[in-house]
Amino acid sequence: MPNVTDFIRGETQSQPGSRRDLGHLSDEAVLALVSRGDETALGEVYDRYGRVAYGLALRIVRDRSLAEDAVQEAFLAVWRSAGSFLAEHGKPSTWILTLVHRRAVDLVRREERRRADPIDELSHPTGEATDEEAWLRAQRQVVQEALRKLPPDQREAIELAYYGGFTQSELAERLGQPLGTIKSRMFAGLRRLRELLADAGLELDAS
Amino acid sequence: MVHEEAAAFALDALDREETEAFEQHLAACPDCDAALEELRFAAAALAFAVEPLVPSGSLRPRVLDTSAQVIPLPRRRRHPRLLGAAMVAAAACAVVVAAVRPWETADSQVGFRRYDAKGANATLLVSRSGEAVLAARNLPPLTAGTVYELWVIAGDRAHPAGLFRGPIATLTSPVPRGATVAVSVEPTGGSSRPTGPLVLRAETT
Repeated sequence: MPNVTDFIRGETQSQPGSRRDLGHLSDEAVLALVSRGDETALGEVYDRYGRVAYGLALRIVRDRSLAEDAVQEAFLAVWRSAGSFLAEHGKPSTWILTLVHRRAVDLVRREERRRADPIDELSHPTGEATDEEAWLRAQRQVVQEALRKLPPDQREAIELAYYGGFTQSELAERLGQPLGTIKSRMFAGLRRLRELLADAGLELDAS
Repeated sequence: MVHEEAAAFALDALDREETEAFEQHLAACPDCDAALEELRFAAAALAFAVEPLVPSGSLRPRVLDTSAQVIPLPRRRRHPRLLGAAMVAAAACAVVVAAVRPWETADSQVGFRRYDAKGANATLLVSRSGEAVLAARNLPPLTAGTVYELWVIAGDRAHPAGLFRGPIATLTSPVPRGATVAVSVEPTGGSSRPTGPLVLRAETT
């Protein structure tokens, strides 16, 4: 089963305006070019992760303009800090989506715009992502399936935190539970999610 | 021992103070630091449970245009070579203070503070050293013979900080903390002090 990086890479087409095709390069290699100030490489990163990033940001902030701001700022951070990131040998997709998530959460907390609909009930505001490859949908199903296997209280805490942008203290109040309970649910749930994803073949890259 | 707060950190479920406290904890807790990569992987995987969506076609050029005006930070070595042990230790301390921490938010990890502007849909990014970039949308259209001029207002003085016509502008004067950045419409060539209408105002803290 392809991992996350592979499926992103596989469904990416070169955009008009790219001066050369970087599609054969690994994420790390593209980020190495980014760290040297290669704008074409930044475009390549955007082409690989822009749609997932925007889908995530929009899920959190519920506003197209704010979602675009979050993505723009995250990619500015990618541009500025790719070199430092590479020195830490992390996983590129995780890093990029972490930056996107942080920006979106910052924005939604500032705007007090967040909502907390469960992901399954989310109505998608556009029908534009029609050219998804079958395996991209399959990958989404892997993560959704793993989420469904979590104990409900762990899943609830994780989804409200990640998609709703709530802090642990807000969650404790909202769910009427002690803060320690919320921390434990998120910790146990996230660890279990990691195991379930590994079982399903969604693995960390060796690089 | 891995502390449970690591999961909340990976999910961005800590408030600002808790985040800063946990980052300090991370520096002293190898167990949490080691566990974080897996927790972050699981958290980021949640992004893939959401349907990917095509953003507007203007976002890609926006991303590239903004970046074109910002210089990437140099890669930092964690372990400087060719230095004596004492210098390594001293350098390591300096790196801890000055290091770019790429996992942090866009604001803090690039040393940027971010401000929203009043009067227009605009964002001001200010680096620790005061370098600033303004990204403004929906500014009133310029008429012939006019230009936007940037101002850095500190105390009761307005310093000219550059002219621009597009949506992105790099300020030519540093922005000290507490200063206000403003944009006015001026005759082509600019003015030495604001004469036209202020169309945007961003206060820093």
